[in-house]
Amino acid sequence: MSDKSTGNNSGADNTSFGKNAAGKKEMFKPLSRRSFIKAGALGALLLGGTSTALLPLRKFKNDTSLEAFFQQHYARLTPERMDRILKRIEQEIKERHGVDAHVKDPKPIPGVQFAYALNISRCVGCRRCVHACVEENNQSRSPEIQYIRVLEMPEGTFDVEKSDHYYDPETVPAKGKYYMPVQCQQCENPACVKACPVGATWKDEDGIVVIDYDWCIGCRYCEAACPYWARRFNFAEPKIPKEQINPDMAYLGNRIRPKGTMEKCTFCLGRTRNGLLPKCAEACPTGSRQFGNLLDPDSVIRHILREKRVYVFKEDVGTRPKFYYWFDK
Amino acid sequence: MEKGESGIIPKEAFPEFLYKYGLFLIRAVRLSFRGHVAFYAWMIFLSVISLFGLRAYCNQFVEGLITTGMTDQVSWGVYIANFTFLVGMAAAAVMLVIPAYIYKDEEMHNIVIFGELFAVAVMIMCMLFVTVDLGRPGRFWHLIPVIGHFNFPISMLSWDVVVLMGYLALNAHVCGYLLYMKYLGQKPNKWLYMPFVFLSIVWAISIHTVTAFLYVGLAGRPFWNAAIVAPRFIGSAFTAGPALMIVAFQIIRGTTGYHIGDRAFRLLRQIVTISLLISLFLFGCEIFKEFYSQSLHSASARYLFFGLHGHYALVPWIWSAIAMEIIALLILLSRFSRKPGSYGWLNLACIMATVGIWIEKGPGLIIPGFLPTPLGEIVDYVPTYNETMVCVGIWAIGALAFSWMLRLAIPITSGVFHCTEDE
Amino acid sequence: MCTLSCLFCLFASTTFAADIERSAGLAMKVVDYTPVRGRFRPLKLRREGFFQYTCNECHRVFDTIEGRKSRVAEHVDLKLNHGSNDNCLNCHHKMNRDAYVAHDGKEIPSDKPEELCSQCHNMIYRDWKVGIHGRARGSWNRAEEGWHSLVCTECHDPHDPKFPELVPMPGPAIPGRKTEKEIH
Repeated sequence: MSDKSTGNNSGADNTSFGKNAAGKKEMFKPLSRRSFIKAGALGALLLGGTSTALLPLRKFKNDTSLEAFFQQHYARLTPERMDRILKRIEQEIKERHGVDAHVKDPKPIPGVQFAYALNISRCVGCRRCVHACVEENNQSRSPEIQYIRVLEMPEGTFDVEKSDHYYDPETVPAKGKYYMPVQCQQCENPACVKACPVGATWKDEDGIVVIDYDWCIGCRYCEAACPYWARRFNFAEPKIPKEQINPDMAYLGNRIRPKGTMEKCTFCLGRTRNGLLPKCAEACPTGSRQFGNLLDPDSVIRHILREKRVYVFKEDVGTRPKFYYWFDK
Repeated sequence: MEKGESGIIPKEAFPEFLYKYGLFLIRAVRLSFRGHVAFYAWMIFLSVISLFGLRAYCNQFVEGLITTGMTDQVSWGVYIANFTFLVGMAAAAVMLVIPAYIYKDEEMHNIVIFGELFAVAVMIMCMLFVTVDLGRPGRFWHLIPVIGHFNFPISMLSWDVVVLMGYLALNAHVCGYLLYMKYLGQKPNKWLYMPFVFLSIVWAISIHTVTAFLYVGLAGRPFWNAAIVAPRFIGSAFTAGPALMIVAFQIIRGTTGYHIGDRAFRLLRQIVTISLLISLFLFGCEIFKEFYSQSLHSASARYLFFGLHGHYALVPWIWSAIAMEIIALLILLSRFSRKPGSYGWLNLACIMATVGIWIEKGPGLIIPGFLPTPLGEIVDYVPTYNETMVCVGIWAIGALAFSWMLRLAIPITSGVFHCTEDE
Repeated sequence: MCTLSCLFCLFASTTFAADIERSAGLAMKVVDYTPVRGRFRPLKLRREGFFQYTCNECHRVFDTIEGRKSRVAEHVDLKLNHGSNDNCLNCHHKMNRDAYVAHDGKEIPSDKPEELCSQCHNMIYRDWKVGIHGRARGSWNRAEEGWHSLVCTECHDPHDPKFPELVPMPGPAIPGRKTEKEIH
């Protein structure tokens, strides 16, 4: 039984090629020893080829236990389960980075809606907020992730196309420029939350848009959806020097993220849900950053909204951000 | 023959339908490995390329998406570009279904199955492209409702998952059922396939519209946030899909001798011509809207067509695409492409149209949507070697799947591979 | 030559560069968030042996000439760069050098400099009272005990209140240039 016939009329097996190929009857004789040998050879070739293709997987370090793989969405976790998960995360951080971390899960404070105000008259573009944030939130240094991006804008325009992100003058502020830091605006109507196909990101009760890093599948649709370019993706395993790791971590906040997941500014929820200020607000040397509770009529945010000239960035896309830019000079 | 072909399994051990189906599967496996030297060479060639792609993907799996050229600025690249283009191709199978079933064109019936198999192979490619683009592919189970958390109906991506899976299931069912019935020599039950066929006509439009809506729904990306994107998708899909099918069916005709009449090619040519006309018209509308008023919103379009702030990477691509599409249209409208029996000009037009649309819908749509970023910066995107190998590997897998399915389908439809009488 | 010096208010270093620390080449570390001038300190007084002079002890003896713009004796190295406010006696009480002076001539105690500054900088004073001016400290909730505000002179040098320009910290890495370290 020849399977490798050439030409056009080998008849029974329809293995012919070209114009005369059709119309031959197909016949299946019982398997012969020859076909087994052939099958074996082909199979060996395929197996050999596939294992060669899979060789790079040797370097794969499986960092996910079975329990972690089947971990449920944050909203479905019981407190006991969450405790176990936090301990597991602490253990993983100890193994991988050699740091004794404390990972907690601070809940939103009732009666609080966080908002941020930024005085662009006073911002000088020194970028201390950027680097304080990187340290506080355990962002990857290589590849570099920075939640806050400071734009150097020429005076007289709002057009961000004219901005410079990589400015580096001797001293700031440079003449004829003003500075506008941009980070996650924690929108009231967030485009990223609508986009996520698995619901890994949502708006929490205190207004902070959070991400469950263990649920995110890394499709990056939220990154495409965000009108403020506020979301960052871990293209590789984050690398942070051990001595710069901040051991006070929060599950939805600044814990060290896994490769292949999204992250962004969370208004330092590990700090703010315990009454502290976000790190960027604390680091700002010129006092351009204010943070507070929108629902408290006495808060700094409400004062600013009442008395100052306030605008929001890209108001026309309808996201209703809670990040208010204001100016008084 | 009482013991069946392998000589191992007794016939009486199973209910008849299961026995017949099992025998069909075993024979199908055996048939897959039968062929001319040319067939073997083609399949081995495709397998080798697929394995190269697999190796490249394993690299990416270990290191993360850092092996691609994507950045936070351009966070979707050739993977999603190919995915977007291929969803359109899948939708184009409906262009064969409509004449065959609605207009009851007998001659088209023969090749509708091939068109639907084409859609199945293309759907497999789409699923693969999305999978390789994920940062954590192991977590795909998070998409399953109830055990995962499926953000349907708010997330457009969840709609996309639903419609694509549904379309794959529809086409796989219709093809599988009709082919198996043909193999058995039985008349297929109208109610088991006709409703699905008609459903697939509507569903085909929906898969590509939903994919378009993925982009249209993002207010923060002005290049995509336009109503014309969805009609452009449909127009270009119904150009590129039938165009590729014209070429594919000629290859089928040439290599297997299966009869595909000239009428089918004429019909497909008409579809391609009209769709290309509409597609270019809509393209023209887009260009007018972007450039007439000289507003700042057209920054992405300026980047694409003329370059912006010193970045010109996409300019030669898009102009080549426009040129190819216009030349293809001219060829199709001229008498050159109408010569019966000799399809050289027609093939050239089809290939040019397909390549042009791949550029227009792939790099020409995805990348300018990201640049300038919402904060105004431009970061050029260049796919890496690893990324390109993964793409090529997936195309090879698609071609492998299509070739394999045809290896089974053509003998079935031509009556050569069928259930023998004494069973 | 008078060797007495009554006033040598500490002028802390006004360079902000000190608060940046480079570590391991991979990140900038912002260490010091305290105001430049530190917590409110009383005036540092001149000591001779065990005898300590207060400002008034010299100024009881030496008369101040009104309208005098140049600095003499202990004050020669004092930089006065307060814009159009170039007269010492605009702020300092003529009779009681341990106090500041209000517009109506009344004394303002030296631990309440905000009452002095607000006489000209009332808008900033209003913002400061609410918590909008100056560095944020402690808590975002004014009711919480961590919240505190800083007094004017804890950040501003009253004789040279304008802050020097800062050296910007490094910008983001230019994307598209992957280092070997990032890929492997």
